[in-house]
Amino acid sequence: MKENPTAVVISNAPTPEGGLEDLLNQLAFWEQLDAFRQKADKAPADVRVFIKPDMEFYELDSPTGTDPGLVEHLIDLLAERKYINVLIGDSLDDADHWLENRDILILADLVGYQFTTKKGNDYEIVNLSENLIDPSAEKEWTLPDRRLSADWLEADIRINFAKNKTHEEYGYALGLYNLIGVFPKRAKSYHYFHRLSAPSLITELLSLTPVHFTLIDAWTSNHGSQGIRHRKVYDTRTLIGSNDAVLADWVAALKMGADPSISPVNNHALKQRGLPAHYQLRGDLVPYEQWQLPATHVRNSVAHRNQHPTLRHITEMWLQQVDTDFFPFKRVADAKVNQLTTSLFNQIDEQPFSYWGYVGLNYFLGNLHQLLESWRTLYDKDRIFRRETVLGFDPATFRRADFDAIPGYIEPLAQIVRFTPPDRNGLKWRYIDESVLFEYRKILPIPYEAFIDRVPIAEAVFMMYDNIGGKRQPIRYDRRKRILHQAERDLYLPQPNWMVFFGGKPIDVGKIETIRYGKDSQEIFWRMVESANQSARYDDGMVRFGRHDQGTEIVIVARQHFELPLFWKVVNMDFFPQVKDALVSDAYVQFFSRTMAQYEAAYEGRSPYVGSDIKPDYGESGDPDFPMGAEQMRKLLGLFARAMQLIQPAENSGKQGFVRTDEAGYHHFKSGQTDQELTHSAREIIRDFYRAMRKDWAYLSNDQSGQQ
Amino acid sequence: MNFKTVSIIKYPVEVVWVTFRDRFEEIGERVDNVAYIREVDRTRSGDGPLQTNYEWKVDPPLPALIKGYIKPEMLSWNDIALWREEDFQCHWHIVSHYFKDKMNCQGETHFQSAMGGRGCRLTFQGDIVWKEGLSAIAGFMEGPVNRAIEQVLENMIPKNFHKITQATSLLLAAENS
Repeated sequence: MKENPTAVVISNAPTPEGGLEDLLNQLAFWEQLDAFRQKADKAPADVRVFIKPDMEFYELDSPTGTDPGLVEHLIDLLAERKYINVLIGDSLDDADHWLENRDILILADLVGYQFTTKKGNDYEIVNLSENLIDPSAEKEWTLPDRRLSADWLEADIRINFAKNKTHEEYGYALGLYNLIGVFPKRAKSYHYFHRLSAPSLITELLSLTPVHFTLIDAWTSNHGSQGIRHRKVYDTRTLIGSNDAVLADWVAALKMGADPSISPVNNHALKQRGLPAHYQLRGDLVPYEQWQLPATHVRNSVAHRNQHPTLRHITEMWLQQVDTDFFPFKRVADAKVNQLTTSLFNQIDEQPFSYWGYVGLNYFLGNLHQLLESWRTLYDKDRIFRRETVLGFDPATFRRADFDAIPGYIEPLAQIVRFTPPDRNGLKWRYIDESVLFEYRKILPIPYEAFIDRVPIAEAVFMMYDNIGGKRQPIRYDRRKRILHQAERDLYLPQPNWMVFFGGKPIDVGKIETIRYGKDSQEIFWRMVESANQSARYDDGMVRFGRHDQGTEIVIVARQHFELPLFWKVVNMDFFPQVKDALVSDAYVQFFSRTMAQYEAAYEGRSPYVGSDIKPDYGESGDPDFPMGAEQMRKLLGLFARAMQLIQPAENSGKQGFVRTDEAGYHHFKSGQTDQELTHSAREIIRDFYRAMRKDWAYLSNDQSGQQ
Repeated sequence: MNFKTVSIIKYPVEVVWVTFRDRFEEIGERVDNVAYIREVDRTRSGDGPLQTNYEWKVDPPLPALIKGYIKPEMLSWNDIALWREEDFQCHWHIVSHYFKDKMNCQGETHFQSAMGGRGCRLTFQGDIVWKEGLSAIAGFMEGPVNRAIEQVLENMIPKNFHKITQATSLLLAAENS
């Protein structure tokens, strides 16, 4: 269906319906649909068409979701050509935890879906959180949450009908962003933005269940710093469509005047899939005049804040502009905080005071999270949440010869380091091309056969110390069903751990691996092929489990070069070689001695992994109380909002402010009860904070002891 | 204070209308924090609309600030409703057992077809007027406590409406499963 990759932009059509018809004609939509039908040998009525609109509505007639009228017009156009087997759907999301009326059918009815079009064509709306099935075994699924709605999986034609809007973290939210609604879980902020990675999930989804057409409703758009939160309508009078999902967004982003790669979701897809070859662009590509994209400060600060799933969830709840007649809050207290905070932050593009207050609040909350994570990284690793990921690269792009060549690359390096004299810690190591090449060797007093039976060599890399998640995907087996080739993605805590205080990133490396099985030894060789967050330049090596008179000898050889945080790049430890050498040696000895302990743990049947698993069913039923003590966060945000209100200049707030400037230019500060309230609240927050953190961990990991 | 809230039940309007009108006691049994809903009276004069009178007693979780000041009578009331079949509208007013003449609360509930005839949209709207201001208690804490009680009562009515619609959905789902 994509022999002719095309993106079409229709601007300034007389009506949205006319624009849609024009768009489909220019896109050769009908010809492509017919070609598919003929290839599948189906009558039009038997072709299952699924339309996934953007249903991110919190108000009626809001420009944050696809216009239901346009979706229904598309259904009418399909029906004219006898394509009457049409479903529309979306899944539940976090808002169902805190607002009423978020069931998909109810939401659809409230925002204007009639279930019967103006021309009398009936259609069904389905909830993509229901009717979940395992996908076809024909394709290689690496998604950790494999089950998706049968309505999506079994559709013959998938049409993604997105809205044209900005996004405070991603810059823009278009077709690819809209696909997060295909995933079924309700607590999306936990499962798809924290436990799993939304950019990877969406890219993988595109590969596994192709989206045949992406249409973007840009008739009325929502722009500004908070395009998914606050109504800021821009009559762009445009419709965009493509038979390639990445291309459609790319063009729509260009029309916004944005660099298409500012969205991590789109950037990932662009890197993994790229734009189609020989595509055509048709229509007016001039950017919208005075379109407001979220400022860099806003995007960065929101990304910083949203690293914590609870902060992401809670700020969504408290900052979202909501029509409470139609979507009342489930809890009165949340309604109150929402009322206060939205009034403060709904005009951040117009009011510098609100803008900087918002950015400051985001950084403040993000820093609280970072402080907590830093503490856990150093002193409380069991409370770090492990991450599940998709592989993030396509192992099929590597030939068998690429895998077979890895030992030939590693073994000479191993030879070099073997003849390197050990340092004071007994570690053999040296620099090669700015990377560290080292060998660590230890004999465990465990019989070899018993050891390799319980510690699979294929998992030797995954079990290394400070691994907090990733993905392994076997590629090739021998006759005894042992893995010979595999692809692997590993996430490690920043190395050395104290780098976390300087903004050190987790190490995220994708590898291809070859395993060799001998009579007296087993070896795994790996070579890095990608680092999704650019945290590593080299991470190649080998682990060998060998038979030894005194038990099992473990040898680890590796070549590593991890990127340093900015601070350490500036300091440049190369000017202090003795200090640097000592730090490197100590860090590696510590790391590998603890890795040995992990192997021993695996042998003894204990968990060889650092961290706790997030419950995979978290947030799926009921209205869970929120981790990290929503009560404490509510106080914190309430305090901040109150302080903002008090010091906000009177002309902005419309009230007497905390600071008043008299005619002579002197500033007068109000005193008394207000200060006491603030002090009291601040004291309360600090006192409760530790308890809140414990609750956070307890909720996600299901450990009741943390709830004391 | 005016209030308006909307809810949808995934059953046809005729089914929901009859369930609301005739089975309120059963619905009440399925609502958290409702001690009971009891039918006191049901009358119809000639061809006029049906009038129902239900007594409510609720037991909601209360903020610590006002817990000690709330008397049981403050949390019970009579819900007197007129049911107009011809346009599926119900006009109601609340008679509080404690505040009696001090509170005037009335409104209407519209039952409309939704979801292409498969559902029923309920629009619940009304207003609460406190005559001469609420004075549940007097003395040192009079201001904040009275304000807090006022807010709790004002929030309770639309909140209960959502709970009632959810309970109705569950009741109908249980019977149709």
